[in-house]
Amino acid sequence: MHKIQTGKIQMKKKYSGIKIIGKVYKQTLGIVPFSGIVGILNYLAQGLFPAVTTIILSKLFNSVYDKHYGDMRIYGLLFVLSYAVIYILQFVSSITINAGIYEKCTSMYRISISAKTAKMGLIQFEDSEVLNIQKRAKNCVDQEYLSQIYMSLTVFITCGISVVATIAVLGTYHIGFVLFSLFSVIPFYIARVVRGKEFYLLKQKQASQNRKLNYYWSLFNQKQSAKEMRVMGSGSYLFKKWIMQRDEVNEEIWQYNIKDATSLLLCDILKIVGYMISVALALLLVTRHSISIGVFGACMVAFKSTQEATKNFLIELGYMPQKFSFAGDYYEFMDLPEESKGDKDVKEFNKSIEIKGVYFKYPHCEDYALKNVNLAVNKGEKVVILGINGSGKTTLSKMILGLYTPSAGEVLIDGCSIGDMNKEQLYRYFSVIPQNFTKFLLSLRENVTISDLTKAFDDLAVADTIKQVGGEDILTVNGGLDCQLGREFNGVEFSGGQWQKLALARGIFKDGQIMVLDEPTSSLDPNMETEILRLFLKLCEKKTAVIISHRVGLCKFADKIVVMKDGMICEVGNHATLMSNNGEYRKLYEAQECWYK
Amino acid sequence: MIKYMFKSIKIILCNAFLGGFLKILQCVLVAIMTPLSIVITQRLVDSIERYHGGYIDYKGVILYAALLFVALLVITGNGLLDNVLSVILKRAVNNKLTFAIVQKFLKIEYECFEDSDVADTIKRMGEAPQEKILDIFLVSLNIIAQLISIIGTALVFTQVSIWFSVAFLGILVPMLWIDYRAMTIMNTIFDEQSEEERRLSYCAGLLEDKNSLLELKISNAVKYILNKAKAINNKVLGERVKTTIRSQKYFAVSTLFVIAWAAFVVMSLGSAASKEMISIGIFVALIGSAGTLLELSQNLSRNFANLSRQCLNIRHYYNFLKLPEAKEVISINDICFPRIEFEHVSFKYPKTDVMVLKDVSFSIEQGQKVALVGENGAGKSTIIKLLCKLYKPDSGYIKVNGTDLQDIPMADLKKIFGVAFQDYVCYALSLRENVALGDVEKINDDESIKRALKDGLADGLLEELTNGLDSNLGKIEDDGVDLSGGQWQRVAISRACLSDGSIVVLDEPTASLDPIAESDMYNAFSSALKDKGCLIISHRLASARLADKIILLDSGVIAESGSHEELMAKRGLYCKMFENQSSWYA
Repeated sequence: MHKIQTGKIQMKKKYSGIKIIGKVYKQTLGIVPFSGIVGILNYLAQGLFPAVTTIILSKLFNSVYDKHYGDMRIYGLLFVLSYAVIYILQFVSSITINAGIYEKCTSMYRISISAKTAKMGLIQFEDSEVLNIQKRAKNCVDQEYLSQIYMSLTVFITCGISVVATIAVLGTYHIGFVLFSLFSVIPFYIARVVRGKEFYLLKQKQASQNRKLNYYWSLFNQKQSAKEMRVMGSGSYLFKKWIMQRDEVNEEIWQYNIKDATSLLLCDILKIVGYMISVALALLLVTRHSISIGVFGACMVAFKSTQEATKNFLIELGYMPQKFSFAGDYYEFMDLPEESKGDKDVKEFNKSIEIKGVYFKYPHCEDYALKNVNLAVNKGEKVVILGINGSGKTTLSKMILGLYTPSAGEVLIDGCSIGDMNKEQLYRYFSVIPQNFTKFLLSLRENVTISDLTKAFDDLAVADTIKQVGGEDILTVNGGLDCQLGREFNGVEFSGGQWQKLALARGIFKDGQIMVLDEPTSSLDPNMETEILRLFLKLCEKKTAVIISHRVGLCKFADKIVVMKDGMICEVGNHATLMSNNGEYRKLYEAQECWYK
Repeated sequence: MIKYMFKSIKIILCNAFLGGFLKILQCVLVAIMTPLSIVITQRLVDSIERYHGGYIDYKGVILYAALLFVALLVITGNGLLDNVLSVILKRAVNNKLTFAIVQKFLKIEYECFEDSDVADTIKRMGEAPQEKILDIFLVSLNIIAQLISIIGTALVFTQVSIWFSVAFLGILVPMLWIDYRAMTIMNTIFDEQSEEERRLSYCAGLLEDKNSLLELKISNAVKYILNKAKAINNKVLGERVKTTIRSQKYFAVSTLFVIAWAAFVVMSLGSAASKEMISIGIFVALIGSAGTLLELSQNLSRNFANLSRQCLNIRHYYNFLKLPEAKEVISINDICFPRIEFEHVSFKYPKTDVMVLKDVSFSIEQGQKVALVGENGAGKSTIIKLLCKLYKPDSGYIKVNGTDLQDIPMADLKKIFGVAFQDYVCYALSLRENVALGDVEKINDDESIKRALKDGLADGLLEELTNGLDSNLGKIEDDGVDLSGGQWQRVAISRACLSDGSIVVLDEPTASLDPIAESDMYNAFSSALKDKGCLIISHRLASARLADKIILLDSGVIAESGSHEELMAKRGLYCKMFENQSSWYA
């Protein structure tokens, strides 16, 4: 437990705000260099705009005041020109920002998450921390936080430039205006110190509280719980409980919100004071003829735009910690270790699979799921792995497939350790029909041929395979092999049995040398189950096969029976020897026999 | 849209009058400030000029300076007021409206939950429809405020000439329309998921799910799916960029409008000033506010686009409120030791054509153990749903001690039976609550709860937990203990055992057990519940052997019924199924 926590802290340190900004900029400029630069240039120009207009306007106002109408035309034209430049620039960058920085980058990030996930080892999917971080990383991409960070920083820079430039211009009129700058800038720092942290805490607090509320809410609108509430009359109890929880949570959030609002009050007061002192100063100067009326008018416009800049800055700042924390999740996720590809070339399978002293533990689990497992599967053998739920059967099959790496011990194929073997070549050995098979909502063709895409367009082989599993009814669907499956995509909808047959067809379409069958799901009714098991036995006649089951009846067909209990192999042998052993197998056999005698 | 606007305003005012009223006041005040601050700036500049000319003394200048300060205070102070008011409003809306929403959830007829249209409505309504009402209220107020600002600004402009105001409105109206169009187009990107986008997220899902990834890895097809996802992604991106550019075309036109407006302002004010028709104050104030046009137009059209989007959303909430509610009947008498009878019951699910049950008749006597077996889709679970009054038979009767089930109030069902459904709920609450939800009156009756745990074979669990009955289960509370599938199951069965009803109904709550473990459990269970009747559903026939009576359903019809021995002797469908299953076990 302690180790995990220190690891986490290191992770968080690894991605400070500055680091994240650096990464976001590098990544964004890598994907969309043109849009990225145009976006920045635009904001730089926007930042200078208030200062430039202040100068132009002061000249324009003075020319009108002094009745120099020639000058007025020139400055008027300049004013219109500066407007035109800034709005055209804004328009152009708005296209590049929306299409490039938001759309293109987000779609790249999205794909990067899928690509990363596919590269991870299957075992990592058993780790709830990995799943959580993946979920948060996806959220980060869906909410476009990375693109937002890119843009937020430019907004900061813009605000900074606009404030500094405007102050510089005002300073040339009177040094006293620099004082005003202090009042505009100080709230920035106060806000950063006070709000930044507070806001982050609030968001964290809300996240866990909201999870609780959302849970109660889901009880009211999901059919499973709605059913129980009606039949058991438990609705009113849960309702009261929810109200209490809600009031408690909301009260806390509101307390925070009020605190948050009052912390902003200080910034606001400073802002107003700064604004007022500036106006008062400008008034004083203009009445004493220290500055012209034109400059005074321009100052009024400049004050207003500086206010806008401050406001935008504060708003952006408030969201930053949250965005950073999401972006940190994204980068943390992208840093997760990946499955090694293995570099040893794989030859044809010709002797045996050996499992030697294998121990295995799932992430964050104290107990071993496999303990000192030793087993050999020779070429051509049919091996049935038997045991009750949770005895480690499926875990063992994943070891054989090279999908999980043993915590200790090793799995050898023809004497070569499975961990070193080139994964892509290794996987060619196996035809697999997993326990939780997938219903691919793709074409019928893809559903079968995805196991061996080299034969994807061999229509005859595909049709043959489907017939082999007794799926004549599948072949008669409209649209033939290329029809879309699944109602979600306006395709053909299959029954559970038809999907099961497709999974079987997919498994045998690939002509692997070793067949692995994990118990078809328990939701099948008895007749269907029998049909499918018989079929499978027929199909693996000439192959090496590993079958996982809790049905002792299957064992009559096996060359070798492996009985598992609590992660250990407790017996190996054929039916006759194991029955005479008087051990676990016999116990299982008799227990099952008695129910079906 | 207008209807929803006023409906929201009404709802907010009814539920939070003071907050709502203050919010309206604040919006109007800020709205007036926009044109007002132009006028004040103008007067201030003019007064300075006249002070310079010696026409007035400094008091005239100070008056307008003071007014300007007030205006500034209102505008800046607005931020704080805004925060506080939104907290107040959100609080009121959350407290009052969510109450009503949950009440509604509790009252609607159960069949709505299984209707995919209703599920869609509930999903689209979202988790916080009450906040959407508040959003519409706020957007509506903003729109009204902005309209006030526009009219006020146009009025200020009449100082130059009436034509100046006309030009202002003349440019603003088409700009509003153009911006609105552009934003509506952009909204479609966010709101509507195209088929391609759904395909994309499906393919991404295949790569992110441990079960599909297993198959893809072994098949070396990860790259194939990844490339497929990339191809769809490019297509989607192309579409979205196209849409973005299409909407930006509108913005291009609106940009031209703004530049034209700036040119017009400078030119007409310049010529008016050179003819000395306007004061320097007007010149300064109006040039300074040239940018206001763009701001006003974009804000207003953004709000309109927002409103039309929100109104689309809020429709689902109002549809939800219209869902039918279950009628309650009044309890007539106490029911004990009932005999349950199905008399010629036929049933089809709403909006479907297939008869799921056809003329089903059977009875369960007091203390009898009955097993309901049959293939998937034979109608087993439907019988339970009818028995639980979640649906009504299309014809025939279900009678409890001779009383029609429809005349028995929902609240009395727990006096007749306790149920563990196939998809029982794992409540992330305490163990006590998990059991007591079967009959909440017994929440503090430790003895009954412990007995129920014993009957449900979960007394071992109680000993394992450190806080006993009050241990939190599930992952929501920090100290919650997550149970295994088998343990949750036992808790669910204990819940069914708590009720005073004389029959326990078990609708296959044992899917995560293997067949033999299931039979063992039912065996232990039926001996623990000696006095009670029992209705067990399973497609595993080993479990059915225990029953006094087996009812075999085949496509909605009772095909066979009797004891195990009788049915085996018949050599019918039951016998065939039993032999098929037993072939794997011996």
